[in-house]
Amino acid sequence: MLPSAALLSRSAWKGPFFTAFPNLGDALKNNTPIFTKSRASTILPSFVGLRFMVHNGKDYIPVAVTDEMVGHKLGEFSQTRKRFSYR
Amino acid sequence: MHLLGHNLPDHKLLRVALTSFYGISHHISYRLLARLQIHSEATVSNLTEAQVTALSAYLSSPSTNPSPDPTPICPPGQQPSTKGKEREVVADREDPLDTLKIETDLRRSLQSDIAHHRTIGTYRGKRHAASLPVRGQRTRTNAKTAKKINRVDRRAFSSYTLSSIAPSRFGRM
Repeated sequence: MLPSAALLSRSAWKGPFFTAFPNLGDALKNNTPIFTKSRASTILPSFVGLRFMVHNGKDYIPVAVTDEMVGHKLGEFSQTRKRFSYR
Repeated sequence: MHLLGHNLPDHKLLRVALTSFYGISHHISYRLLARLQIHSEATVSNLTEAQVTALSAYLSSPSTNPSPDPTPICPPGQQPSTKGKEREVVADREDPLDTLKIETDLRRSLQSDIAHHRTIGTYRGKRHAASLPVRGQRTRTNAKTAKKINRVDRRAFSSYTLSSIAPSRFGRM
């Protein structure tokens, strides 16, 4: 697992920053996506297998969490910028 | 002197010559000489056979080389205490030499780090593939290095590739 840059600079005693999603068990059982705007939330091992809809400032982008993603932030998987193209 | 495919010019300081290895900085080089008990101002031509052997043994597999026991300290004229084993050795700082990666190992781990970001689809991985800067630098101008190096398969850029292009500029052969 590669910790992201923000993790490397954070004090160990604080633990990772994450948002506690109240309906985690239900979402895993029913396979319903969790809509969230908390892009800064670290992906915990308990999130593996969940589906998120992560806000990118405009829309909610689907993110399916795999075990390789643990330790990264949710926002890393929801791009905020469009690719440049000439009209 | 030739060491593991690198030419170390005889007249150079060893700690400078060692930086021709990919992954050995001046700091690492300094620490390495300290560990092998070679004088920090020794030139490449000064080395004894035993020192060269120790050096190549370390560089050929840095991670499997155990770090030596701490040198026992005692006042002048006395024997070092035999109770040294009982004394707890406090490792307050990690030794970078224990986990050092050089040359191919380092290049491979760098490639695999990027591949990790590519496979899980992070923003960083996408920036690598798009040959754009990864860490939020401006792209309106500049960004020359990223445009040159960042690809899906990142182009390695180092003194190694430079010296293969223009060997004459990098020391005597």
